[in-house]
Amino acid sequence: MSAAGRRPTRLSGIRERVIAYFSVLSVLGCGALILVLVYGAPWLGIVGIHGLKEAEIVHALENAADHKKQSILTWLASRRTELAVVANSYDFVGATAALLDQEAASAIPPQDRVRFLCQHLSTLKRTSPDCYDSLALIAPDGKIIAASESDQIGSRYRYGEFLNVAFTVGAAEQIGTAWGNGHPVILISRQIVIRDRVGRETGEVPAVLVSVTRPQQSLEALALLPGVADAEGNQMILVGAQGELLASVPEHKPDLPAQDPLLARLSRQAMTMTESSRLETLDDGRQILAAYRYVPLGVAQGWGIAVAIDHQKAFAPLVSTTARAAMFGLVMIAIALILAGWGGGRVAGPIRELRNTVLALERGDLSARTEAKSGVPQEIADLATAFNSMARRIEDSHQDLEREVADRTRELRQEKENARRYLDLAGAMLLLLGSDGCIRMINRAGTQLLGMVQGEPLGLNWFDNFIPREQRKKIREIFDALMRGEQQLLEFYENRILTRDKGERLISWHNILMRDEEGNIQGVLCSGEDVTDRRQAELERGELERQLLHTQKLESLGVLAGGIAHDFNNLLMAIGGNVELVRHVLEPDSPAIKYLENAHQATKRAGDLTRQMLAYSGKGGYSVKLVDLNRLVGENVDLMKASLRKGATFAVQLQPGLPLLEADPGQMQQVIVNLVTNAIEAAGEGGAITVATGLADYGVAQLAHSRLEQKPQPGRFLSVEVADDGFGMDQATRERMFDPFFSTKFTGRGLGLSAVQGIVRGHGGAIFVESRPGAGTRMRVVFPAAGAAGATTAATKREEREERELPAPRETALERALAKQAVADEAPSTDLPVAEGAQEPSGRSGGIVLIVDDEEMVRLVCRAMIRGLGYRTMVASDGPEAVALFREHAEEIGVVLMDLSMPKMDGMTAAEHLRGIRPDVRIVLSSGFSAAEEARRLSGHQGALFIQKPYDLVSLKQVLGEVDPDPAP
Amino acid sequence: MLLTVRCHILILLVLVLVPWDQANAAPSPSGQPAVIEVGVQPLGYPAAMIGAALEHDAILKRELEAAGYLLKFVPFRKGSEMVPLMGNSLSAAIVGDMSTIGMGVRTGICVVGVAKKTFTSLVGRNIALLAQLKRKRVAYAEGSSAHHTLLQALASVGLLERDVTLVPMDIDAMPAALESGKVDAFSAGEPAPTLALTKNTEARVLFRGASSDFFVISAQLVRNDPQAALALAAGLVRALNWMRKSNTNLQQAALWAETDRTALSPRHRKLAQGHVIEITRREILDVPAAPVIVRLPGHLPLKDEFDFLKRQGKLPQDATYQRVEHAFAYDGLQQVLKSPQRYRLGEFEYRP
Repeated sequence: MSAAGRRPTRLSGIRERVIAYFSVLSVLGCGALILVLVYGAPWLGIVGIHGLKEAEIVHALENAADHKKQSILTWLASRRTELAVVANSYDFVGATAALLDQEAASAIPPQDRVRFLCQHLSTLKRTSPDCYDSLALIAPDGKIIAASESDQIGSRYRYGEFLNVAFTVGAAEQIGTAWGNGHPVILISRQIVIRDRVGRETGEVPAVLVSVTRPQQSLEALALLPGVADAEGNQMILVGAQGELLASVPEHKPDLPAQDPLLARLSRQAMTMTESSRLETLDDGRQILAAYRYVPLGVAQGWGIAVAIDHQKAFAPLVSTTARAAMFGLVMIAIALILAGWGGGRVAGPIRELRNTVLALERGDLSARTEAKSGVPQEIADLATAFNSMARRIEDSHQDLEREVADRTRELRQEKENARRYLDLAGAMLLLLGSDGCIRMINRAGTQLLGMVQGEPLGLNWFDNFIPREQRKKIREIFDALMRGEQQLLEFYENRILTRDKGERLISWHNILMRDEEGNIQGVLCSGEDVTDRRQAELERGELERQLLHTQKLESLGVLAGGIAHDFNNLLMAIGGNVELVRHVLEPDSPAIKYLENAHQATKRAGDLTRQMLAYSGKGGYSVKLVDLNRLVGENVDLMKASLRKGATFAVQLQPGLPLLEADPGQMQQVIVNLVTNAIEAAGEGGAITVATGLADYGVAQLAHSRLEQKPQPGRFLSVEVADDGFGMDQATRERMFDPFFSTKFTGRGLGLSAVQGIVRGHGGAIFVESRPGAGTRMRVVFPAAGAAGATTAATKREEREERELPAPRETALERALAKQAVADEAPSTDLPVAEGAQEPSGRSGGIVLIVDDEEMVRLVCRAMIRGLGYRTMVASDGPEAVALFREHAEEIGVVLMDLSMPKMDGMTAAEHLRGIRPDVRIVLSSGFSAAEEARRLSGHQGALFIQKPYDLVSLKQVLGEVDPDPAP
Repeated sequence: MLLTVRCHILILLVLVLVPWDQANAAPSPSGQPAVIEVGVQPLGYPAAMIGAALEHDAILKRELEAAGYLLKFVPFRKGSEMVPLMGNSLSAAIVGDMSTIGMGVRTGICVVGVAKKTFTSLVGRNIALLAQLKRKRVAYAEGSSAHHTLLQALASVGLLERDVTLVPMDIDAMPAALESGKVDAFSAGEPAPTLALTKNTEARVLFRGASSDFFVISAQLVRNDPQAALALAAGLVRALNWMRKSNTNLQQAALWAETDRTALSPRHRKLAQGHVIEITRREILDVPAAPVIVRLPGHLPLKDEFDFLKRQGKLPQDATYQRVEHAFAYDGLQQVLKSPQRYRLGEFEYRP
């Protein structure tokens, strides 16, 4: 707050403060000064008026007492001198001695001597009439021998006790008091000492001279100090050795001390033979100041003097003095205040003017200057000059500063603009959040990321507007804790934010705390990078990598499975063929037939397994035909209804008018059988199974959900969907359901769905799986549609024709094999076995069948089987041998049965060579693999067929019949 | 055993070599003069004057020498120092009230007569009343009459010794100490009060207590040689008579006293001769009947002082006043005064 804005208070001004401070100081100072002056400060060695007054009073009392004491001593000294003069006078001593010594006094009559002595005494009394009541010369026996009053002569002296003391040996003089006629008297004695003729004392004391004086009478003449003993209430007393009141001023009766407490106290203290001054409190509460003096009158006695003054009265002048001093002090304070006010004004005036100038300067009037008027104190004038100089420098500095500020502002603006551009150039989102969570700054990239225009996000609450609702509370709590300093800053983290179009973006943040100069947290500066696409790409790349790995795994498995199946098929070919040949050479009623049949069936089942493995690996037998999917599904479903569990239902929904499917019918059948078999087992008892066919268009998005790594091109697809309401599958099961040898069934081999996957992949289709635990499973396989729906009829008719040629419809693969075996059984027998050779010497056929296979046992069994069918045979162990043999017997060889996989030259190459020799040569390729592509390629040539190992006589006969429908017997 | 024998031999040797200094000095049969030691106080007046006069009294000296005594005067700074010596090395002394009572209680003495009748003063600086002495520093001489006066002063206003700060000090140092501010007051007999009042206008007498000096003689001396004791008593009377006789005599005595004082305490301030003479007149010469102690009916000498000191614990609890009273019963002074010519009280022969 500026000085100008401050509300003035009652004591805000210098003048007022000077007056106030001076007033307080004056009051305190004067008060303290008056107290010190009145009562003193002993610790400072200052004696106050009170002390001085007290000392003065005490001094006056002591002076009065001393004066009185001295007066008494002087009076006594005078009396003692007078008595000594009389007592030591030669005539007086002589007259006394003569009077008492009758012999020596014979010349003068005693009366004359008495008269002489009395005359001396009377003279002395007359000389000092106020000092003596009486004078007497007393003999040791106590009789008065001379006196100032002649009537006392001869009488016994009344103060006998004193007389005894007066006659004490060596006590030349004595002073005492006695009580006579109701009042005390002072007795002074002087021994009459006898001397010899040369003036030496003889030690004889014939008489003593005694004077009697009434004290009051004597003391009246003594002056007392004015204002002490004669003032009202003041006392001066003289007491004797026995406490008797000898004199007092004002005068009191001698017996009064016993009644008056003041006199009693004074009398008691005066008898202590001490001298002092003291403040005493009487029994009635009065306080007195008293001075005591002791008047020694001999070795063992003396009188006391007390002078007292009432304390209150004594200090009465001091009270008035104190009051006057206080009044004077107040007046001085008032005068001082007036002077202080005037002086304060004089001092404060220039300062006030200076203050006004300073205030003007503070308000911005840099041209404000003060004037040093005449009469102003030099310090103020110097201050004004210094201030003006300072103001000029401030003005100059201000102008320089303004210029510099303008330059700096311009530079800062430019730097700010540059900084803004830098921020805008930054690809990352830069964001400054205040401690309240509102946006304080955001760059262009950030604004664009949020879908806003420049400046629009400023002031918006970041958490309320840009954080997804489900994360908002948690992140806000973390932010608030961070602002309170209770949370460690997460410098790097990622979260999703909302953009204006309600989209979500994944942002990677890099944060730093913003603090002020005191270190207090002001906000957070965040640098955010949109990593949504990158994360997606990473996910996709991960998925691709996973798919690649899976594909490689499947390929490896496929290679493994294909190799195994190939070798197995060759082995099965040898086993099955030999069994079949043995069976043909045995008698029909031979008991070994049964065992051979069992071995033949086992060989068939082993062949099915190898086909499944080949199907998974994509190397199964592939005989592409136009297939009516509805018919195929209907036939297989009808066959499989017998496998339904108790209470289970089966619904078939076949969409009419489906186009033909270009596929291997056997593999399609394998797909349908595997899917339905799984559904039946999943539905269990009382379950519901639905099988449906359909035709629909599938887009990329839909095809993306395919469980196959290779997604087919969008287009129209035929579908077979099998659904059940069984237990369904969990996520883990769903992920591994197509893995080879993975099965949830106790008796399963884990190759069914693997084969389905391989078959569908081989046909360029897709698989969709929907399953949840407890919600059943829905599996749909789709295949690219081959042609128009009208093709169905022609294909159907051709198939019907083919079926009519077959001896019996095939229900299952096994049944179909048995049917083929039955047909084979009906065919003419052959001579078996046939020895291996380049050419059979004889045969039912006019053409020779060239058998080419690198496996010797395959060659042998194949030759025996073909010979059994009535053909002549030639054999070759590899491609080159076959080519050479065919070149030599080209015209004789009608059919070439050749293995595809051979070490030196594979079957396809050898076939090409053969066709080069004789283009119309009929070739039947065989393989333990399912050489689908090769078969597809060769299928375009006349006389080229494929037979899958292992094959039996029926299949062999059929193939050979198709190649050479009319062999020469 | 050998060590014990050696110790006994040493003790015996010490007893043989150390002179047996008896107070009851008496002429020895061998003809060697016995010594009569008289304790004097050169720092106090008029005791110093009396002591000086006695010391220069040729008559006294001759009389004692004739009796086989050698008179010796021993200076002391204060009377309390003489108390334990009285009856041993000292045969006579001029001491104050306290010392007289102390000697009377401790050993047998005979009080010849009064040597001073004066006041012992409590002098203060910038103090008006006695009550203001509280918590002040007061110089005093332990066991002196002034100590007695100080106790009287404190008791008169209800104070005790513990209410003030007592500063033990020699009497001659007190005026300077008061002037320099080392003490706020002191209690002493003349000449210290006069010196303080003369030099310092702020000094005032706060309290005066009557006190006396007495000339005392060992009771054993009185018993063993009464005539020697009477000679000493006559010396006292003669000295007073000589000083009373003329101012010249007083001045001479003052010179001798000053010489004695300087010999004992050369650094301390000298009191003007006029003051010395005035003090001497006032405190002994002009005192009626001095040095005779007049026995007043019902008055027991130093009885009040004895009781006060006993109350204050300054005397043993088993001390009895009868011993003091017995000391004052000695009538040697009366015997001398009855025979002034025999004891040559009017003859003066004072030699430097």
